[in-house]
Amino acid sequence: MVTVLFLVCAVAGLAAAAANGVTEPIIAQQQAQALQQGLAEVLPEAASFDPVAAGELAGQGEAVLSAWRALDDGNQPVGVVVEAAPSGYGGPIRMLVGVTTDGTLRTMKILSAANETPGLGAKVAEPAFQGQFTGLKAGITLVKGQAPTGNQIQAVTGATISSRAVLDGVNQALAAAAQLQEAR
Amino acid sequence: MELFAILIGGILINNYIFARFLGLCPFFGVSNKLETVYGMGAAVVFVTTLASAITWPVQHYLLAPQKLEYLQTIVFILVIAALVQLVEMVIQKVSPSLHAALGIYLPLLTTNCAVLGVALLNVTEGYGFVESVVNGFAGGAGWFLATWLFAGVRERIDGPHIPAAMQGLPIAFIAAGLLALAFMGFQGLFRGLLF
Amino acid sequence: MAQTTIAGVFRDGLRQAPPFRLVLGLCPSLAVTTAMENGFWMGLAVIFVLSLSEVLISLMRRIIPDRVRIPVYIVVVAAFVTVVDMVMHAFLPDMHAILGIYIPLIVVNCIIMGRVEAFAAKNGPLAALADGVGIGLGYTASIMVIGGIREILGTGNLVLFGHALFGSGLPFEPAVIMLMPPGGFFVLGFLLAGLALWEMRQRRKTAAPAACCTVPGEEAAK
Repeated sequence: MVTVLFLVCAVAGLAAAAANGVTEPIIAQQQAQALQQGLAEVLPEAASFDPVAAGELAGQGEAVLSAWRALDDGNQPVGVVVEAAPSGYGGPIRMLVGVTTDGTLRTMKILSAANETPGLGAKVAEPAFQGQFTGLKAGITLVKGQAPTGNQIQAVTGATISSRAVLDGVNQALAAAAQLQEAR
Repeated sequence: MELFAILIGGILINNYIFARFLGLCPFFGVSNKLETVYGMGAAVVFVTTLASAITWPVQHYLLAPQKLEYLQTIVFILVIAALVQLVEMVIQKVSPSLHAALGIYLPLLTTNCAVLGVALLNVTEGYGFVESVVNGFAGGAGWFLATWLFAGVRERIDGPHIPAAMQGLPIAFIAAGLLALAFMGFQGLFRGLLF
Repeated sequence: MAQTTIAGVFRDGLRQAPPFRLVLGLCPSLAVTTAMENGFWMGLAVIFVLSLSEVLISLMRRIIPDRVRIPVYIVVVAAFVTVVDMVMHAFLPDMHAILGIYIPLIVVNCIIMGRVEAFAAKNGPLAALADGVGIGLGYTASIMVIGGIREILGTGNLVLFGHALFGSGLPFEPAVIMLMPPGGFFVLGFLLAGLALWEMRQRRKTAAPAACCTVPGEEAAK
């Protein structure tokens, strides 16, 4: 009786292990590819990305997850990419922020805002909202209902919380980038 | 403070029934009478808390170190099935009257998505042991609260003023939808406090 | 009730169409049906797990001791679910991210355990396969309908496999609530009511002729 159960478990385990053996490398490769694609999108001038050790990010904002130093063909630094995940309305909003060597935001890309309200908070994932961040520097502020000037972005109408969360993430990323570039 | 956030989050903000859609079959199944809700609810809270407490060390001391995370589904559901079986045997020995009251609900807990759901969510949210147990308790308590509220509503719904086609399950779903709408008011609860 | 032909079993399964007639498997029916395509892939996963589990358990039905049958069923289903999860993660990463924990939750989907216990354990493998595929297809169709309604009402458009079926969207302001939990409950509630209404009409149609055309004596003689 127990032997039957044991045998079934063993076979099930082996089947799962076999499937894992086949799919794991594919999944890992996919994730690596998606990451490289994302990194290249936010800092197109870079030829390669050097991951930053976790220790160097100690003391940075809570939303900062990881970072990469971007180098060009000649191995010269062209900037830093920071991955952040601030808490939005319904969950974390994952993003990549590309920062050039002078601390200017090159491009930012929202990787996932799946937990935000569709039609409202989810609009932060639209290019129109993200495009606002290009060219801004540390300490960006938010305005509502009016066109942004200078170092400002306009919140999505009716989605202040999601917009503010993204802003938080970007500002923390810019601060982290500044510190990393100073360190080198 | 964070434990409190997890507690309120699990019970109100991300209520397992009204926001996460977990544990729906028994939700509709036991909510036609208020008495059955208490029995099932207590059983659910007990098992979700215990399941969280047991699956956490299994994940972190057995599966993860051996790189066996892909066995998570199989192992977790077996743990839960065994746990439910054990709980039923213990209750039968310790308190036959309690067993008579809860007896039929316990085996159903193995297929209650809320139990496996909470165990899986503990892993995806990256909770530590205490946080997982609190989250487990919160999930179960939220389930209990939702089902209890719903049973109260259902007791008053059915009657001749409901169109024939709507009677029974259809109107129950609409009522559940209205309750879900009400619970949406809890969204952004902490954001509101912190912002 | 017991069908003798494979085709009959298959048709029976289709007609059960969970969660409408066979009110089981509610959790994923509401959670993932924010879009028709999500329903399609979830349905496919369920067909795979359900039919293969039914076939395997049917093949093993004489050697599984009764006392351990539930754990054995659970392990078999869980193994298939694990494989589906991994395959989806590798080949359909976006859909895998959308369906999230509802893929592993297929293991506790009452439809699966219910059918395995009620059908596969008592019938041959071919019939079990027909039952699994039939119920699975009925399920897929049902959740695609729910998903389709929620998607159209909630986004004003229907996007299938990368193609927006209504171009730039239908000309109304979409009701975003449809994409959120309450919307799921409402849609299923109204669909169930619609089904009940249709069934009532069917019953009235079949009952009426007998009432008007038989004579009291004839009834007693029947």
